[in-house]
Amino acid sequence: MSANPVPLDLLHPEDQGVIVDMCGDPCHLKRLQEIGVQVGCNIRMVCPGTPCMICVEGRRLSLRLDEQAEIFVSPAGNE
Amino acid sequence: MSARHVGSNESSVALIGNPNTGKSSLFNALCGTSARVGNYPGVTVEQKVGKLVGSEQPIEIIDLPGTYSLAARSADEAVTIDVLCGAQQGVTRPNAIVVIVDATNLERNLYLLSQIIELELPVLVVFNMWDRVQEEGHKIDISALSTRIGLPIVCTSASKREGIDQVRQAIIAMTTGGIKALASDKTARSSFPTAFLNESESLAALLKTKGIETPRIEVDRMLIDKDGHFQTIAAKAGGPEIVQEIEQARTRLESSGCKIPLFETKHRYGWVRQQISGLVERPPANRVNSSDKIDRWLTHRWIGMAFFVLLMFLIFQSITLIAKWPMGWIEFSQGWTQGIIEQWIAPGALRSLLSDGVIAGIGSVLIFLPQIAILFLFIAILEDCGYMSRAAFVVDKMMSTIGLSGRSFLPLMSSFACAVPGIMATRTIESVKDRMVTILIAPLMSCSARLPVYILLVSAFVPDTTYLGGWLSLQGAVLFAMHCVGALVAIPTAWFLRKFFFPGAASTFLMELHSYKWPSWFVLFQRVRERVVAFVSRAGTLIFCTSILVWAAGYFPGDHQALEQAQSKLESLTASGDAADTQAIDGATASINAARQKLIDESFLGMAGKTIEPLVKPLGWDWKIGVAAIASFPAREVIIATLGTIYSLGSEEDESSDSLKDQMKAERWPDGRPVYSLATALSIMVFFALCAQCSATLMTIKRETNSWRWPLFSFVYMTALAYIGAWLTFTIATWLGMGS
Repeated sequence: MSANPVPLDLLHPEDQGVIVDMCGDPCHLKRLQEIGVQVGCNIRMVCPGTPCMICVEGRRLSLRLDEQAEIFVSPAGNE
Repeated sequence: MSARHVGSNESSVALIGNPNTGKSSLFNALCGTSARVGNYPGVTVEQKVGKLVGSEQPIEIIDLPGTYSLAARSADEAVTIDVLCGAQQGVTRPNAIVVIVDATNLERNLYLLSQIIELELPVLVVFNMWDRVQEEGHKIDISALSTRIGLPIVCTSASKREGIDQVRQAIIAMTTGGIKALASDKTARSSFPTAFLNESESLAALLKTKGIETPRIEVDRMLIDKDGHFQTIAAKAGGPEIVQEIEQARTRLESSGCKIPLFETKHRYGWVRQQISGLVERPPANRVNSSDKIDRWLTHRWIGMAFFVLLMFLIFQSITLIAKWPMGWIEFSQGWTQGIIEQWIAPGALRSLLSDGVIAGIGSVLIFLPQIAILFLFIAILEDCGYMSRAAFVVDKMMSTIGLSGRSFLPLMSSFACAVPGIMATRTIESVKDRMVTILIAPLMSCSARLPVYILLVSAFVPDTTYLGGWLSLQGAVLFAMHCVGALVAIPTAWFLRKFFFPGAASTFLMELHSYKWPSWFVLFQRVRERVVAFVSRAGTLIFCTSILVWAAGYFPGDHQALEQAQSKLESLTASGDAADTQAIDGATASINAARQKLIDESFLGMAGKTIEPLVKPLGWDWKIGVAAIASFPAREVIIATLGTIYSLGSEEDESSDSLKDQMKAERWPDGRPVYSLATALSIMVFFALCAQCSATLMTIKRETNSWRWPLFSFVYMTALAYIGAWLTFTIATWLGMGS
């Protein structure tokens, strides 16, 4: 957990980390939080791009990364 | 506020939970009835009600659509919260609630529970997927957690039917007063900022002065959900003044540091963490598993798309290959039944009604039952194993170019089976504009009712050529191409609708993808059975009635005496078995054929057909096809029954031309050219691919959009597209030499 936070879209396949910040449209952020994406969660990139597929606390989600929500991750390095 | 629906004598219990927590499996286990179980979030688009098995008192169980929160965004979620608050028309407010929790993902699931307990109803918590909890090595202290939250918890593995009896007993206890609603000081709301609680009180008081009695949870939701479901209801009941007051309250809350709407998730997740702290241990999440390995290929930008197209192609290939045998059996039974009727009933109106109207009409439609069952089986397998949501992921980028998202893909795929559940499945789409466009293009997807039309024409007029040692057939390829026509036309249509009728920014895409699993045979069987029963009952009602009407229009007002005399003469000649009578038999056959042709031409149907012939002639059709196409506007598969009846009434008296296919091949224009060429067949198929010939779909559009404007719009634009498409197809195909 030593690296600086990076935007989620910079992660490569299988990169892991912890969500450290989320910003953007409050209503969209709330939706993300309700589906389980919140600060402090473990996250893994499964398939980068738009849309991307991520794994959050063992649950796979697909989402479009756009200006409506930016997610910052502190990368943990590949395992 | 809308009228509250309370006070029924029968107890009712609502089942609620996040999508894919095994809710439908639990419902089936409790009620002993069937419900669809799928991998896609929100597959339970219709409210399902059952009776609790094993209870002396009747207890009604309501299966609600899966949701992550009570902050209703989609139409589906709005129904859920309306039912729970007793605001849903025609549904009594439940007396108690069962919250189903995926025990392997407690935090997110208990978030919903934190909202449910504020409904002030008795709540039972079911920790489902307990088998996976044990396999994956989670540790949960159930009794301590139950004491801490203050609610009973039962552990189940609904798919294996484990723990169902305990749930049943607990439900009975709940409805007989054995379980009470949680005290308000134990809910997450008690930790909300005081500023919010005060604003909520003042808003409730204001509503009361206007004579609008509103439960606390609804007032809270009015304040939290910007432009949400309850704000809309408040605006309708209390006018703009209420909306202004809500907005002012939000501004005051923002300035006092209570950020709307994000403070809610912060406080609720805080409450959840407090509840599970020290009682739950879970194994490290985010390990790479077999689903990830499959996803690496199936969700690849290009490989994934190629796989999807290939899969669809193979499905349509196999439909033509597998269904050949059962089709033959049904066709044989139809001929056999007609033979029996002709043997037992003397020539006349009754024999014609049964043989030409009922058997030829319904029989020609029932022949296609095997294909429809196979198509539904494939779609059910793809949905149940978890592939469909991956396909939605793969096509999202493409959908975004026409202004839609991958969320629209699943209702559209479902429309390949039937547009009615497809349109209802759009309730899970949050963006109203996306939902409207999806509803309007869904009927363009080639539904299973078009399949009989394609199969009939393809098998009769497309050469039975095979490639790759018999594995690839030209007929299967044409069938696949016909299914692509609607989907391809839907692309520019969606773009046009989004640009000119529903303009606005592209919507976001957020969807959960569940792990792959082997499809459940029980679920597959249930879904195929459901659709087969629906198809057969449609054949027995709507198609039966149309067949009789078409028969009557084709039978009357002609004088059938000459025909009946010739038929009796032929039957007595055939029965005598005298070889010397061959010439007499030929003579009788010829007079039957001439009489039949004359009668159908002079019938009401013939007269009407001749009137519309100039309209359909540019498409390469004769009056019989024109009449059949018009008769099939209530339901497109009616064309088969209508053609079956028309050709049976006017058929040649010849043993080898029993099947509709052969009768169509034998049809001639007055100048002796065959009516059906490949160009005509393609033109009919394109017309059916694009036309809105389904009253059930149009009624569903009316219901879902709450306006007659959109079904009318769909009907007009699709019929125009169909006519132009069929004309273009016929013109181009004739030019390419397929017209003879």
